[in-house]
Amino acid sequence: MTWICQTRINRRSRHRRALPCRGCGTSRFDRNCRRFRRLRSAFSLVEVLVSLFILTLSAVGITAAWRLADYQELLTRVDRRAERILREYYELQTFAPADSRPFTANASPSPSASPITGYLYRPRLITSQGSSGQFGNLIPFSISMTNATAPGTNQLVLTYTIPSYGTQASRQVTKTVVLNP
Amino acid sequence: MFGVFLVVSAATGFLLTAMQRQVAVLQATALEAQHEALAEIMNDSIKSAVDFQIYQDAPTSSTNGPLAPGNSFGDWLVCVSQSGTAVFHFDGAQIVYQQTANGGTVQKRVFSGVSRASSTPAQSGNSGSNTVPIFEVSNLGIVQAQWDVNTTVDQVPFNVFGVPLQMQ
Repeated sequence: MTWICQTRINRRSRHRRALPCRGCGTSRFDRNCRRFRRLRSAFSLVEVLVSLFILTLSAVGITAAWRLADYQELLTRVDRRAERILREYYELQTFAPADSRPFTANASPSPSASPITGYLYRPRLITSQGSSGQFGNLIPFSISMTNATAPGTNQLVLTYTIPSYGTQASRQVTKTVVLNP
Repeated sequence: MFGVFLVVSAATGFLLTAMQRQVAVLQATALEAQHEALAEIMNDSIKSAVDFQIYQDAPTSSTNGPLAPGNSFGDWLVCVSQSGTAVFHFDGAQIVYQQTANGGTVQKRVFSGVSRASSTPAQSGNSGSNTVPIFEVSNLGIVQAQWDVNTTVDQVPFNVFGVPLQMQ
C-alpha cells in the first residue's frame, strides 16, 4: 500500500485546475468550460440501456393493449353485422310472400334444413394491398329457423364463432329473434 | 448520442405507426356506419314506396305521372313515396342517393367505397361474379340491393331486402 501525501495531492489538483482547457481557454474544471459541460450533459451507457429497456417494456405493453383494443373492436363490429344480417332476414321472413321466404316453417321442432351461411369478417389480405384487393373469409356464420311446437314461437337463430384471444378460447355466439306469427 | 437518436427514433416510429393504424380503423368504422345508414334509408324507401322501378340506364325525369317501366335488375332504383322521390344510383365506385321532396327540395348524399357484390346470398340463385347488379327485383316483387364496401381494413357486404308496401 502506498501512502500519498495529501499536501502533494492538493498541490497537484490545484496545478491541474490551473491548466487551461485547450478548447475554450478556461480552467478545465471550470463550470463555464464548454468541454466540461458537454461531458456532464451526455448520457452514459447505463442511462441509454435503461431507457431502451423502459421503451421496450412500454412498447410491449402498448402493443398488448393495442391488440386487445383491436380484438374488442372486432367483436363489436362483428356483433353489429350479425344483428344487421339477422334483422334483414327477419324482415324478409316476416314480410315476404310465403313462396320467397328463406325458410319454411314445419311442424317438427328441429331446425329447418339448409341454413344460410356466410362470413362476418373479410379482412384485406396484406399480400395483395398493391393489387386489386383480395379478402379473406373469417368468422363464419349460419342462420337457421327453429320450428317451435307452439304457434307463433318460431325463431331465427344466427350462430357464429368468435376467434380465441390469448388465454380466452374461441366461443360460439348465438343471436335469436322470435318471428311474428 | 447514437443511443438518444435510437430511442427517439423508435418512439417516434412507434407513435406514427399507432396513429396511422388507428386512423385506418376509424376510417373503416366510419365508412361502414355511413353505409349502414344508407341501407336503412334504402330499406325505408322501398318499404314505404307506392311505386318503384329499377333501371339499367338513367331514368328519364317524369313529372307527376307514374314511373316508366323498368328492368328486373340495374344500377338505378327509383322509389316514389308520399313524401317524395328517392333515387339510388351506382356509378361504378359510389352510390349516390338523391331525395327530392314534394316541395322540390333536393337532398343529395354520396356513399363512396362501393363495389359490386362478389358473392350473393344463397337464396338469390345467382352465381358469384363481378357483374352482379346492385339492384334486383325477384319475380315476386321483392327488391334486393347488394353491394360490397371496401374499407381500409376489410370488405363489408351489404344486403337490403325490401318488400314494397303493396306486397306486405
